Amino acid sequence: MEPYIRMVGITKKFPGVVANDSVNFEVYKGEIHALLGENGAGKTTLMRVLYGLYRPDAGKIYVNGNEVKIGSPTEALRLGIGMVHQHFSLIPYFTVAENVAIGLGSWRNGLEIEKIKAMIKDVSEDLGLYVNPDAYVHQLSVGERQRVEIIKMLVRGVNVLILDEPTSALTPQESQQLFNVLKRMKDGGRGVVLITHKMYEVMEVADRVTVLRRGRVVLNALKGEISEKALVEAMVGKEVILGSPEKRSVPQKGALSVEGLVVKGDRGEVAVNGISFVVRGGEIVGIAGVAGNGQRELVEAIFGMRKAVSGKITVDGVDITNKDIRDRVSAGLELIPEDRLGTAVIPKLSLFQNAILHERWWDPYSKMGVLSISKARDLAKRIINSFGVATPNEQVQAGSLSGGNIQKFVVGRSMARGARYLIAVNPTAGLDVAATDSVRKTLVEFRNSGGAVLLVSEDLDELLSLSDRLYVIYRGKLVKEFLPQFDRLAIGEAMMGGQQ
Amino acid sequence: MNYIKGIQIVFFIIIGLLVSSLSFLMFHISPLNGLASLIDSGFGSSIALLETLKVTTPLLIMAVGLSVPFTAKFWNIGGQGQLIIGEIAATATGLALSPYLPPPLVITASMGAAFVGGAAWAMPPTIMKIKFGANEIITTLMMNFVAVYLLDYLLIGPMEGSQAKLVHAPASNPIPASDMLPKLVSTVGLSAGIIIALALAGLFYFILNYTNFGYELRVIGESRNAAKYAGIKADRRILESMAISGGIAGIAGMVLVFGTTQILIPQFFSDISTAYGYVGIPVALIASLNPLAIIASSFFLAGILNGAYIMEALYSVPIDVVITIYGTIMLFSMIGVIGDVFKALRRWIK
Repeated sequence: MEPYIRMVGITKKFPGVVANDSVNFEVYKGEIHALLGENGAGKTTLMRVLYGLYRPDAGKIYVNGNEVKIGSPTEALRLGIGMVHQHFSLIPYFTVAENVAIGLGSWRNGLEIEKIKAMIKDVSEDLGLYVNPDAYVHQLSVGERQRVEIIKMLVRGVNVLILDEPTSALTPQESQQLFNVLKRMKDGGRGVVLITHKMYEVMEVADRVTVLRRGRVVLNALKGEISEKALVEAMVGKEVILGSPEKRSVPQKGALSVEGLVVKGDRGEVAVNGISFVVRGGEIVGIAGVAGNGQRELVEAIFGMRKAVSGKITVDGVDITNKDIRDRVSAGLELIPEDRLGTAVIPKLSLFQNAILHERWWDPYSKMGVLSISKARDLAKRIINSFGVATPNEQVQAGSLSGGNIQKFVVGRSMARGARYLIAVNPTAGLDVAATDSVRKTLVEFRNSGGAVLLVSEDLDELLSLSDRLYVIYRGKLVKEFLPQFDRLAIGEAMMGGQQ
Repeated sequence: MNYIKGIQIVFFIIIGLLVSSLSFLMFHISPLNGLASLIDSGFGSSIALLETLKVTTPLLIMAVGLSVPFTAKFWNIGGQGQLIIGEIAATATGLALSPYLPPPLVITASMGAAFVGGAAWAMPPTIMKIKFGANEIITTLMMNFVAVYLLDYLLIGPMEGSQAKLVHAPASNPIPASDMLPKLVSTVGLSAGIIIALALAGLFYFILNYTNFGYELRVIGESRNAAKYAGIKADRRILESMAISGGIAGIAGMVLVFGTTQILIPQFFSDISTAYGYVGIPVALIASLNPLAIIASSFFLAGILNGAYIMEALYSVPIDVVITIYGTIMLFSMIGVIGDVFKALRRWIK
C-alpha cells in the first residue's frame, strides 16, 4: 500500500541543535502511527514541519505521491493534514459551534450557524465525539475541549490528524474515550499520528511505531513486530555508562530529607503524591522521569516556591516545610532552576545585581536594608573568576551572556554562600559540550567536598553518569529506586510507567 | 548604556517639540517663533523660571511617588485621586487644628494626614489586584472619579466655606496664612514645597537604587518567577509601594493647598493645570523612573505648561493647542524611552 504522506530526509536545525536529522516518516490511511521519543527527541518539530509551521532545512514531503511544499497550516489543511496541539486555541466565550465557525471562515463563506451545527453532527456522531454545539467553551472540561479541537479539524475534511501528546491533560477515562474515537477514525479510513512518550498508549492503540532519539529515527516498525522492551531500549538508548567521572565519596552526616510530601499543581491537581526520600552529604541523588510527572512541583515545594499541602521537609534535622526561602537558603539549601532567563537570572539587571539575589539579606551585602554595591560587585567578580564565566565585566546585563556562561554564573552563585544542599534541575539543558562539562564537573566537585545534590533531569545520560542513586518519578510518585550499576532499560521502563 | 538612552530621549523630545510647533500655523504664527516664545515664556526670565518651579513642585512630588510602584511594573493611574484625597485630608486637618496648635505642628499634622489619606485611597485597587487579579490600571483610574465627586460633595456640604456660600462657588475655608508653607520667594509665591519635592526625589533615588526594598521592586517588575525564586513577597512589596505612592501623591496635594491655592476647589477633568496625577505619569516614564532624572523632566514639562498659560494670555493661543503640543512631545519622547532606536537604525541601514 502506498503511504498517504511520505516525509523523506527531513532535517530541521535550530541554533545549536539539530532537532530533526534526515528523518523519514510515513503515514498510511487507516492506521494509527505512534511517534515515540523522550522530551526533546524532535517529535513535535517533525510534526510542525508537516503541518507547515516550520520549514525544513532539507528534505521532501510527498502527499498522495506528489511532492509538496507546505508553507503554512492553511496549506497543510488544504492537503488534508490537521493537527491538534497540546495547548488548545479556542475562544472561551464563544460556543462550540462558533469556535468551529471561525476555523471555517464562515463570515466569508456565508455559512450559517445552523449549517455548522449540522456539519458538527455529521462528522462527530459516528465517531462518538459527543459535545453540545451550543455549549460555551469555558464550560467544557479539558477532554471536551479537545473534542472540539478534533471536530474543528474534521469539518475541514482532514485525512490525517496529528495529535501532540493528547492525553497529557486527560483523566484515564477521557483518554480511553479519546482512543475509541481515534480507532473509529482509523476504521473510517483516516490516518492518525499520535505523538507520545507513554508506552501503554502505544501498546493500546498504535498500528505502527516510529521512535525518535536525538532527532534521528532509531526504530520504525509495525507494532506486532516489536516488543515493549525493544521500544524502551530504542527510546533510551543502550550505550554503556561507566558511572560517575570522579571517585565516589562516602555519604556524610547531615541530610535533606523529604517525608510524605504532597504538592498541588497549577490547576489544583495533586502533582506530587506522597514523596519521601533522603539526600545525604557527599551524594548525588538523581530524579529521572518524563517531564510533567511532578518534578517541577516537587522542586518548587522543597525550595519554598510552592506550598506543600502536607508532608515534611528537613535540612540537617531542621524543619523547613513552611519556612521562607530566606530561611532555607540560610539553612544551606540552594536551587539551580530550570528556567535560566526567566527565573535564575533577571536578564535586564547587571551581573552584580543578579549576584546578590539570595545574598541581599545578609551582611556584608546589606546592612539595615541598605545594599552595598561594592560588595555585590566583589561577589560577582569572585563568581566570574572562580567559575570561568566569560564576560567583559560584572556590570553587563546578565541577558547579554551566552546560555553556558549564564549557567556557570548561576551554578557559581549557588555555591558562593557555602550551600551544602543543592537542587539542580536540567542543569545542562541547551548548553554546548564545554559548558555542559564544566557544570557537571562543578556538581561532582561539590559532592566530593561533602555537598548533597538532588539532580532532577530529563537527560537520562546525565543522570546515569552523575548519580550515586536514582529514583524514577511517575505521576507524582517515586516508583522505584535504582543503584549502580544502573539498569538503563529498567529505568526507562519505570519512566514510561511499566512494571507497576 | 543609560547615557545613550538619555541622549535618545532628549533627541526625541526635541523632535516632538518641532513637530508639535506646526500647530501654531493654525493661528498664523510661524512654528519656530511660536516655539521660541513658548520656551521663552516658560524658561526665559527669572520670573518665568520661578513660576515654572511653582508648577514643578507638585509635579515632581507626584512623579517621584509614581516611580515607586512603576518600578515593580504596577501601574498606578490613580495619582490624581490620591492627590485629591490628600488635599481633602490636609485641608480638613489644617482647618481643624489651626486654632489649637502652632503652625509647624499644623503643617506636620496636615502632611501626615495627607500621606495617610492618599495611601488609604490607593489600597482598595491594590488589594483588588492582589486578591482577585483586577487590573490596576482600570481600578486605580476609576478611584479618581470617585475622589473627584467626593470632593465636589464635600465642597457643597461638610467642608463648604463661609465665603463660598455667599458667592455660590464651591470652595473650602482658606487655610490661615500663618499655617501656610513658608515662602522662599514671596513675589511669585514659591513655597518651601520645592524643597520637600527635591528632598523626596533624593530620598527615593536612594531607596530605589541602594536598598533591598528598591531592589526587590525591580526584580518583581522584571520577572515574577525570579521574584519568587529570590524569596520576595511580591504582594506585600506591591502593597507597600502603593501605600508609599498614594501617600506621596497625597503630599503633593497637601503642598498644592498649603503652598499655593490656600483653599480647596473642585477639580475639572479637562483642566490639565491641576491634573498632576495624570501629567506625572509621562514625567516619571520619560525619566526612566529615575527620581533624579524626574527633577529634570518635571521641570521641563512644568515650563512647557507654564509657558502655555502665558502664551494663552499674550497671543490668545487657546491652551488646548498647548495641550496638543504637550501630547505630541509625550508621544515622541515615549519612542525615545521605549524604543531601541539605534538598533532599529542599524537594522534599517542593513
